[in-house]
Amino acid sequence: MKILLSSLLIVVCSLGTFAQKYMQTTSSITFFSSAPLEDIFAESKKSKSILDINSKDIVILMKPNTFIFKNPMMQEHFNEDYMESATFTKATFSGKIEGAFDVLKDGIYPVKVNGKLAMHGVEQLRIIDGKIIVKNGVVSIEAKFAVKVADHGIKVPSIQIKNIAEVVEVSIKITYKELKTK
Amino acid sequence: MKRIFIFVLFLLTISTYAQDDLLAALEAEDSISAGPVVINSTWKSTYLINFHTSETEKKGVLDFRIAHRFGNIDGLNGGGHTLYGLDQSSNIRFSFDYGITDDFQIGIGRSKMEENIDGLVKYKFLKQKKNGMPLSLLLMASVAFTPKEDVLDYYSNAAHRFSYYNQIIISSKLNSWFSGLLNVSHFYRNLIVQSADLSLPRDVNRIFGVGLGVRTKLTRKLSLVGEYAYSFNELRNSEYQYSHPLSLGVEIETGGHVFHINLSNSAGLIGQDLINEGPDNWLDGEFKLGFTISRVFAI
Repeated sequence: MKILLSSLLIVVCSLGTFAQKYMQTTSSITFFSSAPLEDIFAESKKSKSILDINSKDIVILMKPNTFIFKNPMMQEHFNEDYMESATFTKATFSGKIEGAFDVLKDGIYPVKVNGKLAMHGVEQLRIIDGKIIVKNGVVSIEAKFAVKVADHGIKVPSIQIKNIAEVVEVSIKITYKELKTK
Repeated sequence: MKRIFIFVLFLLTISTYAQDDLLAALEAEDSISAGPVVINSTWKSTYLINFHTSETEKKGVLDFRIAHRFGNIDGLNGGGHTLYGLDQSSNIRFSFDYGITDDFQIGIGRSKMEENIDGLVKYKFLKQKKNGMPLSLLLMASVAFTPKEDVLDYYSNAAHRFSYYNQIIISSKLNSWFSGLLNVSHFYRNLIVQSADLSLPRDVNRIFGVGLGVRTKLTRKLSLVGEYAYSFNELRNSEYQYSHPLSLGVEIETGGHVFHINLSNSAGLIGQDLINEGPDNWLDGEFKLGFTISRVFAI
């Protein structure tokens, strides 16, 4: 009885917060490493995200093995030697958006996101500057930030220090659409 | 579809939507849409020591290899007079391998042994997957041509100069540090030269064989590798001086290079030579130091 009541309560509550969650339609996460001997660039278009405009929560799920490199050898090293993608299959970011924005009004809203970046099995608290862009009613986000690989327990052997940067630049672009049910 | 519906429903009914719940929802959705993950990096390169591994060159990658085998450390032509084989080169092979697609590779090479010029195709038609297919399966076919001078008048016909080596490769990455492979090979020579000693079993054109290869990762950049090939052939298992090829080595990787140092009783670098030649025996100290350098180019 209790369960029935509480689940009824949940459903009733959820009706009030109906249609405030947004899910990604397209996503692009890139990383760029610039070292004396070579620049390395890779992109993944397979990340997933949910944006809750009511509670201002945002979560992003990214899988290291979906990154595409120009050089297949680099892709292998990225997964095998550094990200250890077989063990750490995903990286996540979950945070709260600080700053005002209105999804019903076109505009570019600079915001800060305060949250947790979990990668290679290590969590780091981060405050990331980004933008929420509303254009013709379509909501998207953009952010660019630096990740120090050592912060996430990723070791770059000294022999490769000229090939791989100690701080890599990560860019995120995600477009959303409202989640609806009929 | 039903699961996605449940997922959406679940998403909508989280009234106390903490970020962890959102993340859990996202992960649940992801596990629905994503298929089994292909297991990569079973081997460091497309060759183990002399065997082919279950790796193929990725699309657009050119792999240039130089393989060198010195002479016997001890035993026949070994010992101090040849500085334990270092004065000699039993075999040298230069090769280029290229990936047409991520699963299909072609290659050419030239060996010092028999002056063999070889070409190969390799195709991966089953891939090992996490929580799915437990192994990878490949087919490799190669042909070698020897342009040797015909001093003994063996090659009355150009076709006599050809030999073929085909292989099925079954491989599995058992865990993050251990990979194994099993191969079944078919070797055919258009020309064989019989021994004058009639008490020995006669040699045959067609020989079947099996091989076993392993790799143990010690660190991210360093592995131990080993391989053994056995032939189902009367002559090669008789009193006739022949030892099945056994090779052991270390594999070091630095950026775009893979470097091998190994010890082997056989100097063969392609299947044709590996099975064909083999009088040298580990127990008599007749094993050779060898190295292989591989450099890959993305073109």
